[in-house]
Amino acid sequence: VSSAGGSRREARIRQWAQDHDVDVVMCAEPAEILALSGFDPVGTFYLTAVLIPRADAAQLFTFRAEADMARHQSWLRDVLFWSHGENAVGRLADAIRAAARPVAGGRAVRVAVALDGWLPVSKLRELAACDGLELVAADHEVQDAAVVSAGERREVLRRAAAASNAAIAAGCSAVRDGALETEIAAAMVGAYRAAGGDEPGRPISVASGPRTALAHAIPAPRRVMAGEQVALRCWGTFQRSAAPAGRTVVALGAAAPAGATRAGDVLDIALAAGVEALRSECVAAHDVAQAMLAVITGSSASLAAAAQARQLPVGEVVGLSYPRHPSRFALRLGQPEPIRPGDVIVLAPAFPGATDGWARGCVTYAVTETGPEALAGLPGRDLAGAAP
Amino acid sequence: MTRGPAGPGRHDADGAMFSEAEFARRRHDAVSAVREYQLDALVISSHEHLTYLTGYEPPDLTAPFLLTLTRDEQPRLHAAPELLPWGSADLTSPLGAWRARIAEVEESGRVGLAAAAARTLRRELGGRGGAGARARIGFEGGWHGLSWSRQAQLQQLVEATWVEATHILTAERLRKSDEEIAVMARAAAVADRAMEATVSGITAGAREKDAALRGYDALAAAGSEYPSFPALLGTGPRSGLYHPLPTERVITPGDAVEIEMTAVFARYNSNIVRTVFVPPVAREQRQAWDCVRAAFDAALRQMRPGQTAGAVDDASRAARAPYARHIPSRTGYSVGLSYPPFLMQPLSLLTGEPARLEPGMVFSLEPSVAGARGETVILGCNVLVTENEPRVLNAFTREMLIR
Repeated sequence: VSSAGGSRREARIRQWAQDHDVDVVMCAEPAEILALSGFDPVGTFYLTAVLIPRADAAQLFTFRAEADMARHQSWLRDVLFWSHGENAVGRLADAIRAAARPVAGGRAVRVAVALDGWLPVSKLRELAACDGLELVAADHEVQDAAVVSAGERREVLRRAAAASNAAIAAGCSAVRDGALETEIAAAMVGAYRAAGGDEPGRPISVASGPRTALAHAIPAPRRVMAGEQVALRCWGTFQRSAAPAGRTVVALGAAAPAGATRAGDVLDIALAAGVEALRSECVAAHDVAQAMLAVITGSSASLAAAAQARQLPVGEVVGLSYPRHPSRFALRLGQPEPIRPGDVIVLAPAFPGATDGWARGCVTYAVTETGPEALAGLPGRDLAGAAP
Repeated sequence: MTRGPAGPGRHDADGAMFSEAEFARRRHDAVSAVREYQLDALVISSHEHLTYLTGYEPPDLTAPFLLTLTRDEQPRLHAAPELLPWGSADLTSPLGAWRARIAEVEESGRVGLAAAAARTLRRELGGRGGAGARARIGFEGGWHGLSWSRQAQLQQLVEATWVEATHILTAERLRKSDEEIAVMARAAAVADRAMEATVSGITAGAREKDAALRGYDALAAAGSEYPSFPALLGTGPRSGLYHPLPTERVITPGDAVEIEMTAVFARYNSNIVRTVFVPPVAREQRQAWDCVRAAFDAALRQMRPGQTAGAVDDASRAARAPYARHIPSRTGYSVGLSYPPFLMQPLSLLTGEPARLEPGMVFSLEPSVAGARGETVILGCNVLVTENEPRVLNAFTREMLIR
């Protein structure tokens, strides 16, 4: 991420603070910290935040052991830190009060923070109890303002996509009758890391037979049987930018289960429908989900009711990706978030391919001013040529 | 609600990881601790505690859930659909390759999670928690998993005295059973192999990522699961960054190389940390290594039952007195069952910490000197506190490594 981009993001958040009569905005999500400071926190469990005062320079607050890394990486000049044995929340409150002093005067400092975000409830309660602070909820506009566009990180997204694709190719080669899921995963890990992939926001996923019902299956010591479907997914990440890919293959040695081929066809058409929806102007997450689910539920009456009732996602919108916070929001019915140029979209439909197995696909697109641009994934057919 | 049968422990290629008796003990001890704090119920929202009590390993750390534990020792799960791919009956299904010990399972939409848990609490508390009654209910606000809004909803829906209680199960988990120690030892052995493989790739001219790849391969080949904390590898000045992720930097003569590898089985994480030196080794680098090695040994000698966690750090710091300005962090922390981003459990080997060590506790003991010459020199192993001598779980050499 660039300091120029960071300055633009900071300015948007400062404008929000002025519009909402907030003295300091505190951004504590790891992805926000990287986007607003250039510092990539590795110990994301340490209390760390970027403080953006309404009328002063932004500051980075972090743990002492990572302070050198923060100074090395961050373009922010002020790096404050806390140490073991200190009251970290108290130090943070001090920093907030100091940062707000030019505008807050004698009244309580109004500090905006995502209440349902990264920070645990106990930390927020401690902060709320500090003298002279008034917590207010930072809404989604602050989170949106901190998003790093796909254009700014085009090269790292391509590296991430290449690592994803390498892992999926290796996984496909490793699928065979008798292979353990964990062995297939090991082949994927090797290829992924050899292609330069960094720590992914979600672990590599391998599921065989009935376990393909799990959307994010952790590889298990289960043996693949001939003719079974095996769903593979790699959340390929490079410098915290993710471009996931995934596909479902059938282990050779027996006939493919009834419905597997049809399931593959449905997935391809659903993916094409999702891509087509991304071409529309003013599209929301709900619209993309609806377009894809129309294909899926139209092909299976039993899925129609379930999809409505359970609102299972058909993909995700991904920003900078960290473990436990891999994506920004899900593509599901009822999700009103707009999809904008600069967003990175993961389309991940699923369809039951046999009585005990599901087919899963996963492709990544960047949304540009001129339409969606494929980043990662190995679709079974040319999506550009497929019509819903 | 559906009621599912209890099943056998999670299996891997070598057989069951944990017995039914182990899970029964955990539930019993957890409820005893809940009673000790005079609570009527505990609402669990940390993934670690869900796995610890039930064996269920949620595949999606972003999907919310609430697990209620009342005095009948029967966990009841309320979860978002993403956590229940086969619907409400299937956490007890063998399809997930493990079976969860959960008395009741209910699928809830995101909006309804708190309402569903509140309904269960009111029912199980037998009227307490309703209007006019006053139950005491613990919640886990110290971890990711419980949002501010959901906690507020719970408090609104269940009239009770709500008590921050994250510490109850984290304290329970500090002392490991024999079965847990066996899994930790297995993970430590695989971490050793990963460290050995990574060290074999350290040579002038190689890239950081090339060396790390050997470690990743060793971990994956052994069936290690995804770690709670990423592998670290930083060379030369990057080692001074303390938590360096591997990059494409080329290793150069004279570099110090900081490496951390973590192996995981059944979510039990075991990490190992080393600094490796690439010739020519400077006199200051040898001095720093000797100091860190002495600090490790001094701390290890303190790791006996009854000793305070603070005294371990004190001994380690005394041995590193010449580098006092370059001690960035605690000497160690407890380790065990965890999910990202937490590798550590809450007990730190940190000066002033009054908690006393007990047999069965496992720590990552990892004294370091950071920032002297811009490098980090560190030596870390997992150490089990026993009735007698502390047991280092890693067999990998603790001698100075020069590649």
